[in-house]
Amino acid sequence: MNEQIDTEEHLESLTQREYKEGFVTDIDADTLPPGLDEGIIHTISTRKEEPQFLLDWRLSAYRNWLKMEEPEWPHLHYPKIDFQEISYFSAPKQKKLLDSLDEVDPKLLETYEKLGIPLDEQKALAGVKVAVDAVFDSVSVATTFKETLAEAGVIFCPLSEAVTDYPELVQKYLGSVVPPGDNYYAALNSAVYSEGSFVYVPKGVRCPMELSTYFRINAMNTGQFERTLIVADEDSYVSYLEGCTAPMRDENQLHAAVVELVAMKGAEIKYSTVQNWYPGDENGKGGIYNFVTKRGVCKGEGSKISWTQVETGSAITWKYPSVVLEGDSSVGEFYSVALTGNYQQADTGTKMVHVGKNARSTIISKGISAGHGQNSYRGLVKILKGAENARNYSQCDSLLMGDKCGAHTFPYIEVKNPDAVVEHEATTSKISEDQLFYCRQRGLSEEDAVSMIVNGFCKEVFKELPMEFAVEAQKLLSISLEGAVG
Amino acid sequence: MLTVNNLCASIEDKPILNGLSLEVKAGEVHAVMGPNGSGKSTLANVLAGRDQYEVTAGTVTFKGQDLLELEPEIRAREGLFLAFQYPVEIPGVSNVHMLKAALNAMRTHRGEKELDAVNFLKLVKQKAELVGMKQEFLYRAVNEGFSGGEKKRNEVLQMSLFEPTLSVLDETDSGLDIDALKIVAQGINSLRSPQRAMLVVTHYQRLLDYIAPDFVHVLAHGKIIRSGGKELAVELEEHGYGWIEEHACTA
Amino acid sequence: MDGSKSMPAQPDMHHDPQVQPYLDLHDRIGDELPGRDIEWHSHWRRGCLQRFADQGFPTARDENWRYTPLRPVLSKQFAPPQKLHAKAGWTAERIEEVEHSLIFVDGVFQGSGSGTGSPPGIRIESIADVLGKDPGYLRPYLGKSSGEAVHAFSLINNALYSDGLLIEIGPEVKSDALLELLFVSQTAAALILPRIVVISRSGSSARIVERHAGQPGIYSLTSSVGEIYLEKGAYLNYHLIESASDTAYQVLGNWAYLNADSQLDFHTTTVGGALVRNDLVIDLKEPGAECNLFGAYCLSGRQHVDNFTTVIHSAPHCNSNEHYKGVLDQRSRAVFHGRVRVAPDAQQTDAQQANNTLLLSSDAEIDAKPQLEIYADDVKCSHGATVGNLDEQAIFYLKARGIDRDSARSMLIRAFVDEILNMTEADQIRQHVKTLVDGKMSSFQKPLKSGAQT
Repeated sequence: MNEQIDTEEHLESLTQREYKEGFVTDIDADTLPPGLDEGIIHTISTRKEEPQFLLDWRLSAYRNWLKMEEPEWPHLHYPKIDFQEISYFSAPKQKKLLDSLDEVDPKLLETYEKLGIPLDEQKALAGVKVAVDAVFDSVSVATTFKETLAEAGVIFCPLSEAVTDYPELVQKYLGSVVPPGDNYYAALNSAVYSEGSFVYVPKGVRCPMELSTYFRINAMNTGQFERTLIVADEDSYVSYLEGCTAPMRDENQLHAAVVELVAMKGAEIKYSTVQNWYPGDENGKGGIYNFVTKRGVCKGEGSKISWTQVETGSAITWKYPSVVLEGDSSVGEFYSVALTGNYQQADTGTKMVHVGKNARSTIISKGISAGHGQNSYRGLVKILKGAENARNYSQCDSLLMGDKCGAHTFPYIEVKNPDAVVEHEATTSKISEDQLFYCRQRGLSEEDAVSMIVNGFCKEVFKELPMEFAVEAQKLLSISLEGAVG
Repeated sequence: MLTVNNLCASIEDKPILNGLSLEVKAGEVHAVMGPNGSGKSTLANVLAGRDQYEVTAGTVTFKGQDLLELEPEIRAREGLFLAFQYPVEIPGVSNVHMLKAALNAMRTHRGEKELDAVNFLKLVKQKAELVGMKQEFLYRAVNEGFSGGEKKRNEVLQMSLFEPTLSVLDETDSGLDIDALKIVAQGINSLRSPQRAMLVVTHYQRLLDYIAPDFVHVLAHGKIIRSGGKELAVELEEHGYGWIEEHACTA
Repeated sequence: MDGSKSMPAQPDMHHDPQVQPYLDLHDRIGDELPGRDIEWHSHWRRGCLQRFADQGFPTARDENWRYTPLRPVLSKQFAPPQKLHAKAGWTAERIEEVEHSLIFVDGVFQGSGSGTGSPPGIRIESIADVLGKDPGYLRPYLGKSSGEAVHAFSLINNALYSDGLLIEIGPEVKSDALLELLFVSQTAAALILPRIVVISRSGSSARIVERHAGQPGIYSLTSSVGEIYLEKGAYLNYHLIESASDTAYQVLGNWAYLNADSQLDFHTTTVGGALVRNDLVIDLKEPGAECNLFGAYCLSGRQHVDNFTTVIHSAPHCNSNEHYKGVLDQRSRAVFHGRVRVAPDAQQTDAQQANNTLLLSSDAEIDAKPQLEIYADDVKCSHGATVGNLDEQAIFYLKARGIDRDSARSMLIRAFVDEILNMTEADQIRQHVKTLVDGKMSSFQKPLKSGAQT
């Protein structure tokens, strides 16, 4: 009996953990007053010195948004968001047009230093050189390795810069994968998005290093609405990583991002996310509301898009990184680890839409629920009529830790072609007592045993991450579990 | 080294052990035999600290400490090793990873320095060779997809790696063909030393052909009803458990 | 209040043209329906009518109906047949050796078709009669299906059903008899509202077959509600066999409540019907309850069949096992919705579910939505879904043994479906469903791509 209670307490402490990235940077910021109307959109567009086409695009998205309704189908419970209480733009005050890192506010450099994100090109992240675009609230503060990348012909810059420097590319692809009216949050993002990263990899180029954007929310009562656009031209390759953190605050903050990927014939995009927004405290207070639309199109024959996500943060997560497999013989992949502890809720999964012939898709989802966390997998596999020889394999496993959490699986399978082979498997269980005892009999503490078993459970996903980030992800998971087995 | 006195244990309120007493000294090999349901596996699991079993009475002293007070991992670090009857699979966790973490937890407990990756690999490969285990098994997930024999061999590998003071083998011979049995027995014999002791729980006398025990105990209804030398095992083989139970009742 | 005349005040004027005909129908026949002067019953009926009037028919935006468009049903008008054509020229074929057959024509009970009286220990009585004799008797049972998966069609049944049957298996009665409920439709545009209450008293065991058949070419709408109660330790084997005509619309709902240590084996076989929706809701209410749900569907033409199952684990130590398999030819479409919900205290739950579908034609479609909602941690739950075509290697193997392609295909399709059909214990029922499936398969079109792999 006592044993039982001990274990529960143990698990409880495991799910509560410290959030190391929860500090606030004290910096002068230029923040728009809360509220949203066409005037605000005009202001954002003017501040960013945008061309007319973009302002028009934003306004039409906004008008669309006004007519839309917040989706109610997710397995999520949260108070209604008051969109007029949010500020839609915040930028740290600094001189315009930075030529070098020396001109970046030292406080910002320090912030990224603290987060372990080197903006100094001499320093490498986890021993590997990675080009970083650092986005602080609504603006990009630095992008590293631009020259090295330019030599290879790769464009990697803040989206606002791309609008000025490569308007034809932006105009061609922006909104081409996620149209402004796609869904409620995508429409909102299109209207007010403030920053993001733009990547273009030309034909036949293998991007010489990992690209990474690091998103940081700092300002209070501010929403972050970034937008990422990656275009991989024929036979090119790029691996991209996205990281995110925010200070610990009692209020919920909104993050509504859009990511669009375009892979042309023979191109491959590998997109990895380690999402560690502030998840709220052990009583469910505060935390980021993370409503994200991510979608990629495998446009050309033999193209490939692979999403890997490790989701440990946010109070609410709503995201379904998807792949539209238009090209024949294209490949879509989704690998996900989502951990919900305390009062976190996640409704996440993917959509694989098979349009072209001989396309393959794979879905591996690992959900871990602890504390009062609620974790839902929601996924759609759709095989259209013309999608000959489509193959999909989906596996969704859920692990439950403690008796107050929940794990849910909502797969949708729609098949209109008889040549399709679609397989879906899902399991839900708790950490087996036998596994735990086995490890403890080999001298491991309960905490180490749980951490080892959970990491093993996530192995199939971690091995898809670039090596240096896989290590980070494992650490993050262990930290998140710390407290869950105390 | 190990003193079990009047041990009573139950699972889900059903008594399994009913006053079991046993004394194991350093250097000795004890065999515990008995029919199905006599409490053999319960004894092994209670010693290792599995919490499904509730100890209702009795004491167990291990190296002068109250064993029942210790957490399972502390018992393991103190040198009590259980070779499981049904070793569990742990997907995604590689064998070497688990073994290294375990060995270093034990070394730290003993105040020794942790082994680095290079030295550990050298050691584990050497041990694997000893028990006839292919190296690829070291890199596979713990017991995942192992055959019954491979799982048992993996248990013996761990035993020879950790060099425990007291090894409790829970039906390690079950489900093994004769070749595997010999290798397992060889692994066990190589660990025999004046400092170590073993408690071999088995249903059949077969394993005892290869590991000559110093003592044989017969367990029935949760008690040791007869003890003797290795000749007792031979007698049992000839007459079956019925004989000994009758014997015990009339005695 | 004057019960006989003041049946439901007409719910607020509703202008939904799809809903109005049913409200009008209630105005016409409401006063003749059974139970009108029993307060609890009329109150319940009124509530259901109001709810139906308020919410109307489900649309594509309703998550529970997203794959089953109701246009074909809602564009037609249905009404209960005025007078029965006593002798129609058409009769449903019999199942050999069924001793007790209860026949309903266009929803109206005709009495026993074969056999004599009720099997020993089983009470079979018209619901109207039970309500008349003992107004409170059915109160704990009738109309309890008001929660999960209740929709316009079941509300219409609740508000407008005109009669039905109570089947009560006495305590400790172990009955081997096969009790058949045969629903035959033979009038065009008939609205048929079957209503069944099954009470399996503690320790009893029984077998029931519910069969739907109809005159070919006649379109009708059947909306049935079955409420099944298994008391402690009861066992019930229930077969739902749908061989209605390919012009029939059928929305068949069964709600089962399982008490401690009871077991329900529920088999659904669907070969007939233009649009069929099978709602099956199982509530495992007390520890030790178990349900096994097996479904087979063989469809062709433009048939649309939606198996919508919900298994709720309300109590700890319950098991559920669900396996549905189907074969779709031509332009047919199947939907499998399998929801498993494990309540917060339902520890030690074991819930397994699988759905496998073969698509034989490029115009067929399957939409599968298995879902697990789990709020307890000590559980073992899994679901699996596969969609595919026949294994070409298996076909090749059979061809290499001298079997022609068409025969090889039939053989493999049969083997695929037989896994489910063979779960039927009663020989005569198994034989009957196999014959139905064979008949169906003979209507399948020849392989589209024959020879492609030779």
